[in-house]
Amino acid sequence: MFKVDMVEPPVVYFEDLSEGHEFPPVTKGPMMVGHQVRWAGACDNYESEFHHDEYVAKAAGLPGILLSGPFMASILLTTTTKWLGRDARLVRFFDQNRGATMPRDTAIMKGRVKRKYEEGGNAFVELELSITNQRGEVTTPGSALAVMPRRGA
Amino acid sequence: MKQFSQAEMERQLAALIGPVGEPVSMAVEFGAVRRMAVAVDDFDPIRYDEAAARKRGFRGIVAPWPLLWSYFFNCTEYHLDIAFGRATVHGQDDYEFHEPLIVGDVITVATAITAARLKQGRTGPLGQVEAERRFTNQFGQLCAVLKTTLFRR
Repeated sequence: MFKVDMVEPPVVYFEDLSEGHEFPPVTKGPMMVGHQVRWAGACDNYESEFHHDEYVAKAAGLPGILLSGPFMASILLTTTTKWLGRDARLVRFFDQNRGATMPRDTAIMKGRVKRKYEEGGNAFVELELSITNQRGEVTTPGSALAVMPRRGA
Repeated sequence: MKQFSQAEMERQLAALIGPVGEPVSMAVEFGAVRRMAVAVDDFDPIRYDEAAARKRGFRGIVAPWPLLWSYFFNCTEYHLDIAFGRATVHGQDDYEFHEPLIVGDVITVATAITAARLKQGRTGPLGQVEAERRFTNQFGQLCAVLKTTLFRR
């Protein structure tokens, strides 16, 4: 069984974040077919053969295996929850599957606070997100909205 | 490949709109939560340890939101019956998060095609289909809404 080293995320408060704040980029990869296969297992879905079989991918006219768009978006979502800390509550998440991630590509996750505001007694932060590959191409632009804890509340 | 007129393509797309199949229910299993958490590098103790999750105020072990994709593939019909075009491409996802998915919960997923239109793409006609999946727990609480946009070209 894969040994999981659990890590409790820190608490991040609304007051800790300002508009324009950039979270430290997180680099994943090189992304490999094994990552994709693990995702397929977690989804219990092996139907899309082009995601793990190069022969099938090329026969379908693709340049090779493509990692799943929802998988890449899901690691961006997970990175976002780590940036926002353990007491934040993610309300919305959006991603666009704009470019392919292929085996041996690197995925660099970036996030920035676009806006922070209070509404209905809640403290919100709105984020701009992206995954960029090693060639500087944005493969997955995205955004998120979260309710943040207040310091001293 | 058979050629279709614009009116025929529009008719095919319009026919997709509405509920897709019956709602389907599936339990949130610890093994599934663990597999998904490992797949997306989520090492927060609330994904693995019930005591840690309860200490943070949850009813039990909390699934990472990407587990919604396991429900997507196992509980919903995701193949589109479109005669025109050669390939369906996953375009974007818009998530709303409400009540967390807790191990032991039974989640019911209802799927509907909410919009389908024909657009002019760079290389020809492009079908744009929007699907909505609503995830509800055994208490009737809305857990999440996942809106996906697919392109048929």
